Amino acid sequence: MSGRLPSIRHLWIVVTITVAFIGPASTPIGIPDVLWSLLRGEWIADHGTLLDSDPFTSAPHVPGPLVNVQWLADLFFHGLDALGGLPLVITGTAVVVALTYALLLAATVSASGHLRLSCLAVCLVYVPAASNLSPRPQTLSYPFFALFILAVMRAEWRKDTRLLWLLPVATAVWANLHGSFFTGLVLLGCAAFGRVVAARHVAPARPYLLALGACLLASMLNPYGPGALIYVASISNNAIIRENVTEWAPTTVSWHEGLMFFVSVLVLGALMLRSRLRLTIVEVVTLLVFGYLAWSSVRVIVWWSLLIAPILARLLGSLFSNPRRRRRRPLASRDRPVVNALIIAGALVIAAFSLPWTKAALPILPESKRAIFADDTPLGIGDYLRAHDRPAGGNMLNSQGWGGYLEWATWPRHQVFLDGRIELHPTQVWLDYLDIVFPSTHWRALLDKYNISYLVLNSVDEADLVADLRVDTDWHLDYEDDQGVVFTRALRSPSAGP
Amino acid sequence: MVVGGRGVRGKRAAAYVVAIVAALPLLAPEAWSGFRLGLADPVLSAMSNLEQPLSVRSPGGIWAVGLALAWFGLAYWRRDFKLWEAALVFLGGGAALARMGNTWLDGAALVLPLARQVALLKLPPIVLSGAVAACLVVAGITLVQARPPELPTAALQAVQRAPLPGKVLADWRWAAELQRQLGSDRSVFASGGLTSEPTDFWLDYARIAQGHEHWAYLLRRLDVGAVLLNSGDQQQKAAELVRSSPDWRVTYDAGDALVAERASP
Repeated sequence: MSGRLPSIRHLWIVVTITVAFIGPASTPIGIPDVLWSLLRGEWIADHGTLLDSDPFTSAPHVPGPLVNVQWLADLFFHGLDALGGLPLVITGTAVVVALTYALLLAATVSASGHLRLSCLAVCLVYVPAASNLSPRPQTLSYPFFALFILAVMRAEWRKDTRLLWLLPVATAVWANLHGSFFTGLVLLGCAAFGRVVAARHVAPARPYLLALGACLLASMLNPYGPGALIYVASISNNAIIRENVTEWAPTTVSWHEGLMFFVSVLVLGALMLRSRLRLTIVEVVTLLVFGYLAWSSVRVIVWWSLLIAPILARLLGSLFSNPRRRRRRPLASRDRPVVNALIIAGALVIAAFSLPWTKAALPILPESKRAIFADDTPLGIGDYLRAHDRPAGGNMLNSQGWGGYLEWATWPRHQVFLDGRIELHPTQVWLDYLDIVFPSTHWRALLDKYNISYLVLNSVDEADLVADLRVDTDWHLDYEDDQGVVFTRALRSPSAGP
Repeated sequence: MVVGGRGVRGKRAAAYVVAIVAALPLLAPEAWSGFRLGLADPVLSAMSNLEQPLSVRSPGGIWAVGLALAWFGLAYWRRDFKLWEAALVFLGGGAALARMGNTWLDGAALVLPLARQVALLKLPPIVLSGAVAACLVVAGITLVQARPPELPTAALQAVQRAPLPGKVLADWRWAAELQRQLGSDRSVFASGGLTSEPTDFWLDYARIAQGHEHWAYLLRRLDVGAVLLNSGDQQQKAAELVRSSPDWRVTYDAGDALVAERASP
């Protein structure tokens, strides 16, 4: 340590974490999950109790009380919203993402011992995850997973198992934030299994096994006890979710994230073949397990990307580090504190300008990124519905992808039929919904079945149904913009007869 | 020396046999429809999983990835591989990822790299024989699973008896065989395979199969005089609609096949 500040090490760290912050801070809300999370958070705060049924959707619900393992995330987002509106929700999420990558950087440095290569690895793995860092409950769970990675890396490479004992506490919080807490358990399971295989003895895996057991127990410290684990298992096996929700679909090259996943596999494979380094059994097991999970579901790619950072840095370290060169010219001797300070200040200024309040002033930001909501959000329809009461005696049927925004924008004046929470409704409801928007031959009967009196549809996704409605005298076009339409059931005049 | 040379050649030949047999399951899916190279098509994907990009759900998808991983594992473990091996695995894998139906190319590309790695292992004959047997079993199962449904003779005869006006819309997997049997007197849609019709046709085909509101209009627009539907599989909803429609007369309805001819002009 030269003693002069800021050093080039500080520069690398700040730039890496700032890059992680700028992405989510400057990106409009595109994934609607946070919007129903905000509604639920407000409801919980107002009523002082958890929801036991969903008041925001009108489609029939699955029997039994509602399981909301994200209640703490709902309250967190509601707190931010109450303090500073959606801009603070976005900023708070960006801070969480920055914290995630800071922890990941610490884990990567622990594993590789190379700061700059660790920063490079963290920036590289940020790319496949970048589209998955929006404000939503899942994003709040990333720092917990990064903490698990850090704890395992410390135990593996620094023989320091102290952080493992923090994991049960983290799990107790995580299990109340989001159902992804099982990924931490899987990581510990992989580490334990890898140690057992490597040593052919259980003893070396004891810290992991004890932490795993404690985490498993801690995951039940939530309002639903073991029900949270059952909920997670049921979500993963829900056929409608796996068939119809993009995020849960198997990973292929046709998705941007899928392509990034296969590129990351290719890069890792090439580095492994080129490098002199032998990965440990723990690393191989975790790569295989999380690689399979990521191949099975697009949703897991973000966890995969976090997990591979330390391995990537170790492989890069074995290929590119040159100890002789480092001895010849110590890093500290090349420090230029003033230049470092200027670059750090520049990065922080860009980060400040990437915030929702100020980002419009950033000339490099594309027009589509300057708003709070993404381009495809039905703002016009939301405004229209906010200004009009629901037609008497019937329910709304809405485009499923718009459910989150519409309920946030219009509840309680309007109640959407359904949103992205697939697990709320029985399978038959989803099959009926798909039959309506397709549209099948019995879409009219299905609208009667659910007592639908107005439809809020996406003109592109539901083009065939919209075309049918335009020529159907039973339905009246109330609103139309370039994104969608609102149709209301025409009142039958008494003279029209039965 | 001579005996040793023969032994080495024999082991190398055995390794090639193992690699070729291991690649057979990747050839099986397209063995029924003819080998074609292309990119995944979002519309055709609805009809055939061979037109989808490779995924964990693809038939043979896990086998394809498993073979690539097997090569990688051996190359990484032994630290002995040639660049051409990696290039072949990469090219084959890329082709399979781009379209499941390309796995035949992946299989062909994997033979040489796998054979080299297996040869380097110097496995005893009993292990090689076991591997060959296991791969043959997998290839057989994949071949049977990928087999398209058989066109029932009685359904074929029912179509042959149908009056001449209009074209025939058949399950695309039966279209080629049906066209062969009907000769040039009648035109069967998609008789040249999935690539023989434009995208708009396949969009209509999927709408009809899934029971779209305007299925009857779409059939009229396509000038269809007779249909041969797979009522147990992809066209179950269309078959139900045809059965209950007064515009169509069902002339055969058994097993997984339904034949109907237009009852009214």
